[in-house]
Amino acid sequence: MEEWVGVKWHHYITNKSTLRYREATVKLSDLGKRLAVYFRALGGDPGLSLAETSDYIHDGHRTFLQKMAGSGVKQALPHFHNEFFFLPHQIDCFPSKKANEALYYWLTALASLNHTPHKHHWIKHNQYLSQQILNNWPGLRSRYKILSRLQLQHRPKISSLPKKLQPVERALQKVIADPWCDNDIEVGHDVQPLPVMLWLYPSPINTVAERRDQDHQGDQEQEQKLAAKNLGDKKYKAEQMDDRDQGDGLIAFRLESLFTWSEFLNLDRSEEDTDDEDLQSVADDLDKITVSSGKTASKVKLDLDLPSAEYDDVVLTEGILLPEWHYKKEQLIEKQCALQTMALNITEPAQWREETRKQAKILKRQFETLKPQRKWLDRQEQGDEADLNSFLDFSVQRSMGQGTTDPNLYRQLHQTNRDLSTLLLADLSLSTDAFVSGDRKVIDVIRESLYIFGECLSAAGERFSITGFASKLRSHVRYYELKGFEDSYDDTVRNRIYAIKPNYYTRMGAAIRYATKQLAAQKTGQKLLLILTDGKPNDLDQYEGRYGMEDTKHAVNAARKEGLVPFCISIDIEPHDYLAYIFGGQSFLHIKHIEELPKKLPMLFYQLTH
Amino acid sequence: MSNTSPLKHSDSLSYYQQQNNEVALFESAWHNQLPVLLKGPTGCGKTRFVQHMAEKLGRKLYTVACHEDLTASDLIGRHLIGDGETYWQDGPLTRAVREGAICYLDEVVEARKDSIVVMHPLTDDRRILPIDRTGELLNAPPEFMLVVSYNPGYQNLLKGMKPSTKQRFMSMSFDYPERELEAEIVAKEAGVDLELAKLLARLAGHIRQLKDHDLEESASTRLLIYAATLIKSGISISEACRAAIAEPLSDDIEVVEALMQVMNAQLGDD
Ligand SMILES: Nc1ncnc2c1ncn2[C@@H]1O[C@H](COP(=O)(O)OP(=O)(O)O)[C@@H](O)[C@H]1O
Ligand SMILES: [Mg+2]
Repeated sequence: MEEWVGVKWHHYITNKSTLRYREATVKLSDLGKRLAVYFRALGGDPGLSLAETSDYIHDGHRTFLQKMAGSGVKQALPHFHNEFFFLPHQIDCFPSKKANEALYYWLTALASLNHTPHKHHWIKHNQYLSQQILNNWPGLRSRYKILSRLQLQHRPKISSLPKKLQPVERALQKVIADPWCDNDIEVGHDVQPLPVMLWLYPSPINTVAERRDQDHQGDQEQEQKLAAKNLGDKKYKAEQMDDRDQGDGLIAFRLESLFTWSEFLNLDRSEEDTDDEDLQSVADDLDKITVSSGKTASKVKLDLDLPSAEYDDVVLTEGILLPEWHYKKEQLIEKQCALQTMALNITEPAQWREETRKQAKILKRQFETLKPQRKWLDRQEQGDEADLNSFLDFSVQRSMGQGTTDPNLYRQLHQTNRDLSTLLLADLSLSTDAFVSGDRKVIDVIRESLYIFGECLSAAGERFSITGFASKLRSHVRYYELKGFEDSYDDTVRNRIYAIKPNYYTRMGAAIRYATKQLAAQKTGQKLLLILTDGKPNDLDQYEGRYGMEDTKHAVNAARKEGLVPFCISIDIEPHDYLAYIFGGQSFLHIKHIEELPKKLPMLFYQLTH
Repeated sequence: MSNTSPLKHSDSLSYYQQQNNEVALFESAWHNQLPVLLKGPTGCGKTRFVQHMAEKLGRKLYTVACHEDLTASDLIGRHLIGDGETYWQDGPLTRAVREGAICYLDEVVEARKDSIVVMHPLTDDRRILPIDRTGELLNAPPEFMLVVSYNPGYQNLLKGMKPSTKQRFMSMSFDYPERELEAEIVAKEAGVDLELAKLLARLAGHIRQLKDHDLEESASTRLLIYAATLIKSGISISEACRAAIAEPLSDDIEVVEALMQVMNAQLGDD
């Protein structure tokens, strides 16, 4: 009898798990942006991004299904993790495209309540979420009816299930049919029903890791694959990026990815707000990564110590204390960061590539034409054209017998000065050490971009400053002034630009706050703060993910309040949602092909200011 | 010119739904001869408010929609030629000063700064308007009032108002009315029933969360009124929302579709 059930079950599972309507497949990538907008409009946390998750082994099936059917049933379940809401990369469980698409929207609607279902009460929790959404959004009721009917058709027949599963399945089906029904069933650890396609799930990473602690025979390799898979989906995984077509521009590895990675493995870490940075524990974290991520990590060399004094850049100020925004406490914590202004250690004169010099020359010529900011001035004593209006005035006055002796009847082109100061703040963090193509790195592109930017703006007679920053924890935010507002743009500046190199991490908030001070002190009416970065704010302590984003956003808003106009130029791999969240939808530009940056940067400046 | 027209009763005025205490504030600014700056997103009722207040105070209203090519002469006046002779014609600002009227410069940041400086002597306690071209110097009567508006969104990036100019005005912030009020406004203005207006107002509340992140502009009260008007004239709800709300807000098909889905979640598939 046992045996027979097993066989039946095997059939059932293999059938069910392959029951897919390929011709009705809807891909997340087809809907991506729509769902993101929908999510936010319904009240979803705008600090989160949507991401896709591919198949992995569903929690419940490992003990149960694997034993019974001998193979894992693969399911991609919607869930929250860190700053992401994950949706299946495709949905094909229902027979029509329309239904599968509606399912995406339904799941997104559930997620807009910003709840991650409770690990032990996920049935009840999903029941509650469904009720909320159907109450708040009455327009979804008719759709829910259709989706729930379809889902019920695709549930196992209760009588076909092992006895142990029957009560749970019965309760489940009741809840699906009517989210307002009474239900007290909760699911134990030993048995899990097939996933309900209409529901959200707890983060699989947490769940799996938790169970490993429970039964001590967790398959660690599996777990890592699982985590790696998710990272891969998020396009953060170093390995995967190596494999990407070099032709499209990017890139070898990103340091930020390691920290995201570490969150997956060390679950406690994201919870504890390590305020006091303990380098040793940070190093431990990194060790763990090295051990567990194998091949990937071996490519990564981290220099955790500051370079020895003789090679290091020169510290100009010991520490300018700056505040930092703690989003959980909703509080600006004074004197949280120490910023040092630094002078680069210049070892060789600038040697630009032929190509770069050519490009600089062409652009420079275009910008030179912008220099004489000429404008027609009316009522001039002499000029290139007659001023019709003043002539009219003059004739009227004369006819009234009060003609002036020196009528100003001409218009002339005049030079006017620009009422604008621009500060460019470039991210010089270690992530810019990544390769772009061949032996060119992100930092090389940034270096050339700063150079060309400088050439163009000085040709146009603009008032500007070029700066860079990097950080190592809140005690070391390094700020490099490559060209101050008062410096003339000359070989000293060019050599400094040439000397920039990748450096630690990205504590962007502190750098923006300092740059704001510099720029706000300028006496022009308009002040443009350009921020050039290749990724999210991050640092070795809690300054990553949401914390770093919120602090940066706070700094950007403060700059705006000072009357500055902040604008971000991103050369991140993807135009992630965080850019709009931090800078506002109109105040950033994502540059897809990083090699275009040198040309686009001055062009962008032109567009913003003319 | 005498300016003794009596204050009007509220039932004969154009309809304005007060949100806070802006009516009293504006009245007291007028009594104290203070210029007023209205800040707020487009379509939230600023123009209607000024119109209402002008009627209430019994003043004539001169409205100028500012744009980049607006010159000082467009505001003050110019000499014109006709019938072989030239004559002077007042611009709206000059006329308002002469008549003790209210002059409203809408979207003032759109105008070039050098056109706008002509209003400066009117905004301090001198309250004068020098007309260089004719050599005239007008003293603004106590009834004259200058009102300007602008939309402080930073999408104009480097535009925006100089702090020094801003400080010449008493300023009032406007925003879209809260849901209940907005529903009333939509129902009254479009002549639809309150239930429909409430749904539209609720929808707008959600779409407004997308400002800055996904949308440059918010769904304005004005757009809601358009949608309601279309629905009233027999267009289906979803078509009306598409034409009056989703499409005007974005040119991105994906965003428009998302907005339509939000609309469906609120109002159901047609
Ligand atoms: N508080 C209000 N009371 C009455 N009508 C309003 C109100 N707010 C907005 N409206 C309606 O919205 C429309 C647009 O408002 P308007 O004053 O033109 O906006 P703004 O000048 O701020 O761009 C008005 O024509 C009016 O129908
Ligand atoms: Mg970085």
